[in-house]
Amino acid sequence: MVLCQTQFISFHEAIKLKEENEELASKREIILKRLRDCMPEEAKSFDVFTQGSYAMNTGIKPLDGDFDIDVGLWFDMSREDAGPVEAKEWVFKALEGHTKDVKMKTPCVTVTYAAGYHVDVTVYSATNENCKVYLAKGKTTSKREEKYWDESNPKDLIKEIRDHLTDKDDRRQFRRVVRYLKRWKDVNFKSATGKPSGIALTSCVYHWLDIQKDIDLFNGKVTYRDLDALISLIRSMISRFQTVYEVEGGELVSYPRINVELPVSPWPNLFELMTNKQMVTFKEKLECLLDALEEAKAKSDPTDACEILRKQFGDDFPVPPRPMTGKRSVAPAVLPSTESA
Amino acid sequence: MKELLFNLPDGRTLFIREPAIQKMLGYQQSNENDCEAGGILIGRILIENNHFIIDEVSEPYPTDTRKRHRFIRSQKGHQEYFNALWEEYEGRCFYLGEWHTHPEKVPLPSTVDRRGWRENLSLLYETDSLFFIIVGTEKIKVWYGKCGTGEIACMEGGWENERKTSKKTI
Ligand SMILES: [Zn+2]
Repeated sequence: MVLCQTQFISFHEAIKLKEENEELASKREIILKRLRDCMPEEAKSFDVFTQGSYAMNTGIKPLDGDFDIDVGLWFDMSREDAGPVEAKEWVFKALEGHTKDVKMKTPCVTVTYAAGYHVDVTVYSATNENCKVYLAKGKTTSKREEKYWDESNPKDLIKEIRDHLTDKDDRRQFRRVVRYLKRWKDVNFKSATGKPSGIALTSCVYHWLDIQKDIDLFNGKVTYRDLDALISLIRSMISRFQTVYEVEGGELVSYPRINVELPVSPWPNLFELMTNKQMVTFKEKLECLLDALEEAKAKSDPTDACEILRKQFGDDFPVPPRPMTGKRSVAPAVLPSTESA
Repeated sequence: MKELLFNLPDGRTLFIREPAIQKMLGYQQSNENDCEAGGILIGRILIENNHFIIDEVSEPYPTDTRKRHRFIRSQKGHQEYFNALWEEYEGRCFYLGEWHTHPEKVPLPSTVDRRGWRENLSLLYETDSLFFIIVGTEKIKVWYGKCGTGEIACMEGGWENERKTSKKTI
């Protein structure tokens, strides 16, 4: 039975998106300057805030190097002051021509840079009589019912995830497990559609992680067991799938489905948009992950265990050469001669 | 896969990797005139849990005495072999005990074996435990010895020769 905690920690260091990432910060500054300089006159005043997973301390490095930068614009206005697409058009106008590829998407305006990264700019109505915050949804070409202000408060979400769990070391295990699972997703879901979102996985960990640690009774030293934390979490996720029935070609077909709530108002189900078939794949991949985690744990040699884990988590998961998992002796033993019969 | 796993009385485990087992099995005294063979056990004490893994064993050298019912392992050869591995692994390996063969199906230690093990356990090593393996013609058995106290205990389990069962079916 091994835990490979050292290797999990190295893996975490390798995939973690550090907040002080200068490259990303400078890229953000470029687009913010453009927004401030080119925002059309009719636009309301706005504040900028950092959002996305790196604001929540759960960001990971992208596998393809295509960094995703999230910028939130906090407009000082109510939902009645402007339509959602109208507000997004201000942003689109400010950014149009900044690169060859600026697109209005349903939840944001996306600017793609040739250098291989993109910035998603989201628009919020932040001053409402009910104190709620709304995200602008829809595109210029969308139907009327697809243009709406959607209740969503990213600042509350960031705070909720960032401050989750009071013990700071427990919180670190929480963040590590989120990052492991997100990298697992990037490695195992190759097609663009059908993968669970990062925030959906983050919410699963938020709701269902059972912190796994040992406390030494003599010296109080705490040792975290990330492999056990993953095993119990994935087991819990698999157990939460429920069977739903659909009529297909006159026959009743059953599918497994799982729901998970966003941890803040209005607590939407973050797996809502996944199709039944995508759910089947998701569940199979989770079962495959659980098998691998349990198989790794049953190994006696950490190197063998890490080889199994690497298949699930990708090449950033280290496989130590066998001798490196052993203690160092001070001097070579002096052998006796021996007699056997 | 031929791997062996034993539970130690103190909650730790001993894991013997396949290459080490294969090497020892190559010296089974299956034929009437096969002589005893033996060598030393080399392996890791894991950083993460202090458990033992045997990765390597040394094989008989010409300086050893090999008889039908006796094996005298000289220091020469085996010491050089150990030192070379110790250098290669930058000290991340330990001397973990001895192995030898017996011309019997299920091996039992002789009086000479037990005396030798006790003497060995009274010497000073960096490990707190030594292991003693006897390779029989049908079974491998492992004894666990505590350095200092000299306590020796036979460990449950061990590998059984597949030939035994295949013979029966013929
Ligand atoms: Zn003997």
